[in-house]
Amino acid sequence: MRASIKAEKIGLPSASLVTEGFIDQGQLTAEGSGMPCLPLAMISGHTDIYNDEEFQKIIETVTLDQTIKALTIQPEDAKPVHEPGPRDVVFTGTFEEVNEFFYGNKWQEGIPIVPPTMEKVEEFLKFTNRVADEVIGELLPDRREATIWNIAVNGVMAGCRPEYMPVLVAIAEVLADPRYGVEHSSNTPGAEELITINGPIIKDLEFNYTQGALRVGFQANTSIGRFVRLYLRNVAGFRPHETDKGTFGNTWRVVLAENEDVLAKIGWKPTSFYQGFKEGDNVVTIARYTSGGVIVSVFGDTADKVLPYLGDGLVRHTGWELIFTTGLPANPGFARTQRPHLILSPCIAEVIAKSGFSKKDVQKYLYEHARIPARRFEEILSWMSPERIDLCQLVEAGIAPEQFCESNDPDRMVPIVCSADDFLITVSGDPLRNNAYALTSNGIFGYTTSKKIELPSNWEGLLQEAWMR
Amino acid sequence: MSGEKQYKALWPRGRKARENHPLARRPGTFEGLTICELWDGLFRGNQIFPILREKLSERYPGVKIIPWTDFPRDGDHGFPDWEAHPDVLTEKGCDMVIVGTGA
Repeated sequence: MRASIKAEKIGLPSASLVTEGFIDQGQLTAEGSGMPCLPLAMISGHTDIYNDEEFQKIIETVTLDQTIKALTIQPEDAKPVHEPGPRDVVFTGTFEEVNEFFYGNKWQEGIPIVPPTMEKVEEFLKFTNRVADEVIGELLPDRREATIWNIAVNGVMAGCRPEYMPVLVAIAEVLADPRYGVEHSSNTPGAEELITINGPIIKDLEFNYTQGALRVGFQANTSIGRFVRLYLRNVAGFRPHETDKGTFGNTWRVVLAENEDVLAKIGWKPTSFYQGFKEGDNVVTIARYTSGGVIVSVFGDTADKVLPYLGDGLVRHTGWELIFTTGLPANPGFARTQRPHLILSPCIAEVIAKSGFSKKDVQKYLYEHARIPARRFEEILSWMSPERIDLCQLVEAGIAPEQFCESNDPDRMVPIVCSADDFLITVSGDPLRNNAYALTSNGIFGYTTSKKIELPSNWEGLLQEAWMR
Repeated sequence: MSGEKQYKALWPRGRKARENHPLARRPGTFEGLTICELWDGLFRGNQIFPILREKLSERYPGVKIIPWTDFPRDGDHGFPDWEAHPDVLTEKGCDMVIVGTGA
């Protein structure tokens, strides 16, 4: 779609080949990109399910004529659409009536929202020094302005407390960062965002960072996790059956807060430190993860005993996502964007630290030991490619790093990431249970991105007032 | 109106950030024109484009088609890196493009 828009802007008519299930998304994406009538040429069904004969027939009988039409017949001009202004009251009614109205307009996800009234929004705005109309960025696919104002509106709706506002702003800043790639938040694997939070604000806002760290039940973790999905829905414009094309999708994740008490005890640095921030900074880190799974009962009293199991767990949770490690011939930009996230419960971290390992040492160990045979790596990549993938050819083409072709031995062991630094390690969860959790990232499509949380002047005083409410 | 509390609910969205761009003018013919193919490497474009190429050439003998293999594919998604090759489409003499594959 972006290549078509590029061509149209320089005066070249385009035909965008799109499978049947993605026509609506294609039209809405084109609309968000400022070309609402961009012509598409449909491929019936999905490309991957036909034999060659069936496929040829579909291209000849459906796609060919639509391609010709798209390139030769001028589409009608788009009609202007009137929308409310940012401060417009769009509905007045009871709690239930507001929720019915918002649900009917697809502005909530099927569970009640807190009605966003002027009074509530103004309470949120007290917790930022930023001007309400400040535009943080433009979020695709709708290409709507992300503003301090609509952050507050959606924060109210999500059930956040006003004092969460600094965190919400930092989250919106991540979503607006081009490196993050918010426009891919609807891609078919249905990966879901995970926000990791570091800094004293964890205690200021009473995030849960112990038992049940990824479970709903704690207002800061839960409502801020919900905020992200609402913001993606209302401002970026991702709605199921329209622009959100997750084949199955996932429910939003609650915020993961690191146990910085344990970090201080064992001398480890917070996750945010490895993202380039100082210890003590309040930071949000967001990435999209395709899957996650628990590594249970990590038995052992030394690093040597527990690390092999953790490395194996990371390998077992990484499959097709390896395309984000080395890229593919047609997708070189995917390379070097795989960043698995390993969450260690405190007692596992303490065992590892007792052996003299820092987080950095754990990253190095995982890079050297969480490996798979090259032939297996190539087999997984080849399942998703029209041609057989050879890691050495990817290296020769300058797509994959050199370490993926240190020899031609198909049984050589290769890493699942390009650098030890690509592993994120966070300590959280039940302090008294030796379980870990491995998350595999969605690479370039929701790339691990961090922002510092800016606190308003008189943060302490504002917090005191909030607690008195 | 019931005696229940009434809420004046604000719009939760944001202004659309951009004005619409006009689409390129369609010529109404393929005669003497060059169609360029751009493929992102996904969803059987390697089969789709040869079929379209063959059928378009049969129906419109005066059309020239430049295959996707003739374009750099060094951008994020298998398309040209537009910053590195800002004029690649005009340099190749493209009059129109077929882009695939969205799925």
